[in-house]
Amino acid sequence: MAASHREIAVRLVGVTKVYPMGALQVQALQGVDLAILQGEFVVILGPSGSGKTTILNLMGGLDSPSGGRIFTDGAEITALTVGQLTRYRREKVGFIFQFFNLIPTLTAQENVELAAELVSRPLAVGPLLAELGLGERLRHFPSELSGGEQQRVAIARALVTDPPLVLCDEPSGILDYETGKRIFALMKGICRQRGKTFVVVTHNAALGQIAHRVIQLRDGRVVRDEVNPHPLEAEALRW
Amino acid sequence: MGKLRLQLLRDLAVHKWQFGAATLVVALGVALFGGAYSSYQNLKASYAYSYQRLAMADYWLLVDEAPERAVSEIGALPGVAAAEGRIVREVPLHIPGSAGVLARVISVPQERPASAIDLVLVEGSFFSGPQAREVLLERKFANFQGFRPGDTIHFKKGNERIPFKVVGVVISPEYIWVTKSAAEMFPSPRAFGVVFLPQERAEAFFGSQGRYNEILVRLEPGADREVLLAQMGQVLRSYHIARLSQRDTAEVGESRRDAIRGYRVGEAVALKDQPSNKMLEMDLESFHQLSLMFPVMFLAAAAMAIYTVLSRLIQGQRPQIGLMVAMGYSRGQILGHYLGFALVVGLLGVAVGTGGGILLGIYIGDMYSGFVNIPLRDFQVRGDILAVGAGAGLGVSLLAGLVPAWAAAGLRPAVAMRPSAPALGRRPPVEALFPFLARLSYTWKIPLRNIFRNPRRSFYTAAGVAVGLALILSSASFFDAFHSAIDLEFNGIRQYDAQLSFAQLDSALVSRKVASYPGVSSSQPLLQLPYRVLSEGKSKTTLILGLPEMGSPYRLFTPEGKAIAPSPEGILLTRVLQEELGVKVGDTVSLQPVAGVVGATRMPVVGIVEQPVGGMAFLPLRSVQDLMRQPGVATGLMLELEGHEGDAGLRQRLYDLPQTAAINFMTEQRRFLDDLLALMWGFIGVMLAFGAALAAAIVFNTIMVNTTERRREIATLRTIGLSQGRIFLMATIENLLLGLAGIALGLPLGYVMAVNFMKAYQGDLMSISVVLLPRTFILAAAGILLVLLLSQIPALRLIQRLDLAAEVKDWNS
Ligand SMILES: Nc1ncnc2c1ncn2[C@@H]1O[C@H](COP(=O)(O)OP(=O)(O)OP(=O)(O)O)[C@@H](O)[C@H]1O
Ligand SMILES: [Mg+2]
Repeated sequence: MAASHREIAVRLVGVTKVYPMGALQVQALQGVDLAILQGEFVVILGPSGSGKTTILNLMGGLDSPSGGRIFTDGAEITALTVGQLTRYRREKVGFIFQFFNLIPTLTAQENVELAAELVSRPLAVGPLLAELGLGERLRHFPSELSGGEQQRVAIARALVTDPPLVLCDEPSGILDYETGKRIFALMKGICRQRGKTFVVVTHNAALGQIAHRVIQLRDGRVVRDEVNPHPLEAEALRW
Repeated sequence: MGKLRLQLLRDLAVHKWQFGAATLVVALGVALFGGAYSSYQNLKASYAYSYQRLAMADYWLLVDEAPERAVSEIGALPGVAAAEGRIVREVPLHIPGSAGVLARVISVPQERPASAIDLVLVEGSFFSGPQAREVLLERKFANFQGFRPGDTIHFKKGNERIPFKVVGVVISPEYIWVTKSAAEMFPSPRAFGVVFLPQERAEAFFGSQGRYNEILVRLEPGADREVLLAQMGQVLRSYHIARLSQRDTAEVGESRRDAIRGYRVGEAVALKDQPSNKMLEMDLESFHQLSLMFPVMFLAAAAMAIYTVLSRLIQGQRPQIGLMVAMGYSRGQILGHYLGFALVVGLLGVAVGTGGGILLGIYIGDMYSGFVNIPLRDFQVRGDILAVGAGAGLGVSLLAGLVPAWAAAGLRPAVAMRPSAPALGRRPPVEALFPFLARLSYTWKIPLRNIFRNPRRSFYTAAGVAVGLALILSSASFFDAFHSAIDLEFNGIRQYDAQLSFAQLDSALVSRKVASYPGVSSSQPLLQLPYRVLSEGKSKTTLILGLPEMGSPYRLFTPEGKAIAPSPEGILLTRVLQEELGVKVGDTVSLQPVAGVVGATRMPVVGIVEQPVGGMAFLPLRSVQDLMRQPGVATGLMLELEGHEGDAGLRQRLYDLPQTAAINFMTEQRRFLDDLLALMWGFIGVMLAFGAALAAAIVFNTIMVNTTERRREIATLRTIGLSQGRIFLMATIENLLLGLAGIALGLPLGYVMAVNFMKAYQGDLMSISVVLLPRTFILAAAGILLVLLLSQIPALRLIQRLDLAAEVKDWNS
């Protein structure tokens, strides 16, 4: 398999996550082992509450696991200090959220610039936004943009720092069908052209068809981890 | 309903600090009103009660001399409750080691209670008999000089030292505020004291048996003052006192003819013009201002605090409200539920505030008792005032809560359960005005945008800072104003080090002799005497100062600040006096002695003088001597001494002069005033604490609300890689900018409050200009910024503890 000699982008070893809920303990992840390769477009599927978001947050260094270790590209993120985690998020990871999470007081361009300013070699903001079809929307505030436009701004924000790893949690979750599909096409294209690793969480099993790899979670465990030998182009997708 | 009440308690517990801060502001307002307004009432009532119980006089008839018969005739007039003749004279006291004390000796009848102006004995006993060689000392004087019953004091009469035994220490309603005269409101007890002598002993001492120079008159309630004044004048006329003048109603006599006929005049001073009473009224008035103005600002701030916290809570609970409506809760129930928060805040605030108000009232009462002689106190917990304060506190809380609660009750479920629209982004107008703002780094740009994103709340935060600062500034300005006035008085006006007062009118030539003493750099004679200045039906009793024409160490300045010298061409009036008489430069005024032989003289006004001590008039020494028809006389000397106080030998030598009654050193006088002012630190301490607490509570609240509301944004910033330090910095910049805006608002606000507050001190007794020193402003502003920085700590900790993973997916924040 072609993927086998590629570098590993993220590796989870025996990762568990327990949320204390008063006297109870919620076992969000119960021993997850995973290795995601560089340049892969990975889709994580699973029912609600199965731990998808939890995995993503752990990979992105937003949260720390209760047990196990997480490695990326040379470093063990479970061993990083708060400051190192900030740098890791700044330089190595791009986040795309279901609710876009743009800064409402900044324009489209400013939202992206804010992230660009954090790294020494960002991509050029203007061309990136233009490439994402937002050339006319630079000076608009999030409240003046449609959902799809907002999500594209969020994608630009995630990409502008040129991170090797992009983590997306239900990026099309509150978008309509067409818009959602376009967002996926966009991400898939970027993954291919720029060689970035995408880990995308979704409810929608149909999306597994465009992935290089599909990971299925249930009750905090990986129940399926399959390479898709013939990923479809997003445009060809139907659901 | 049970569930709702549980929910109320739970929400209160979750947001306890924010509701606590709002409660604190309500409590501060209620406490300030309760404490200050009750104290105002307590003081007012105590003065009134003392006056009533101690038979305070309604009129003081000042004459050069009136016989016993005149007094009893006045006493017999219908409408007069009592008339009492007495002798009031100033006599030097010999106190070993002191540079002389001028005692105001007042004769007191033996009968107790006295029919006019009774004394309260605080220590020792009353005179053993009308002839006894005994004295009673006024409390402030006794305390300062350390005299106790059993001690002996000596009057200085020429070269004689006449001993009197101190038998008691008293408080007089006439000297609740110990003043020497309207022109000398703050005599130091080191150099001035009030001493009471038994009636007959005083008559013997002054050799004026059966003759008095003051008649105290007490009126029956409802007596017609105008009629009685005329009748009293009538009585005195039969004793050759041609006219009895009262302020504002003096008749102007024909000077030359009056003088030839040897007419004598007298003056009736009404209680409202009596210096101690006037000083108390002035103080009460400023206190009254403060006790209304400050609490109103606190309650306004409290209303904003409640509104802010409650609207934020309701915003966060929109889905829950929608659910409640869907489940069938009525609008009334929802309204009641959210109004419940305001009710709890109001009730708690009122409870704490009322308790605090009682304590504050006690504290203020104690503080006042320390610097005024309240003869009989009528201090009580004033239920009516506390009730008004409680009502206002509760009312304001409920009103402030009603606005968001009403909006919550009006929400329809479909609307409520929809997530609220994303915060509106917009370019603040200042960026259009100043395009460079848009090019600032994000560390500045985001805070700036945040400020304009909720302008009402930002304004409120700034207003909270402003009110806190204004409170501090306006109370501090009281000190600045008085300090500056004291400074002007001692560094600008009085360029001499000591004032030597003669025991009686004496030769100005003493000055030459004294000037030659080693250690005396210069000596200048001074002639000061009470006089009446009249102009077109208006009349004002004042002090005329006769000063050397050249090189007077008592400097005079025009309101524009230019030096001006006394001129033989005419009289100089202080601005206060000028305004009271309604005259201007070039007008002619008439001058007439207060009591004694009429010798009215007309004279043009040649200039206006500005000084902190109210009404005075200035002439060259020689002109005053001419006015009195007594060439070459003086009442004292103005001395410049080496080292300001001279050495002990010189002091003794000056004191031993046969002419000397007392020497008043300016350093001492100044120290006394500074000490007097220092007593007010308790007051500023309270205001400082209240102002800081107010600013802290409001800043804490809005910053907490802002932070909670922006949790998700802050988490997003963190996820894209902004460091915690940078986010702290951005939050701090936002708060500091709001703080600076608050300071910019607070300065003028504080100034306006200070102007209001100091209005009471711009009368004929004194004219204290509003002063706010840059140092005070800088200290207060720095202090309030420090308070602001401390108040944001809880919000910063909230940011620090933010659960990034939870926030970025939470869609209801
Ligand atoms: N902060 C938290 N505190 C307590 N429990 C949590 C927390 N976050 C997640 N959980 C629990 O952990 C489990 C996994 O949650 P996670 O958010 O990863 O699910 P998910 O697969 O993303 O679900 P969905 O598709 O609904 O987003 C769930 O049972 C959830 O209730
Ligand atoms: Mg999820």
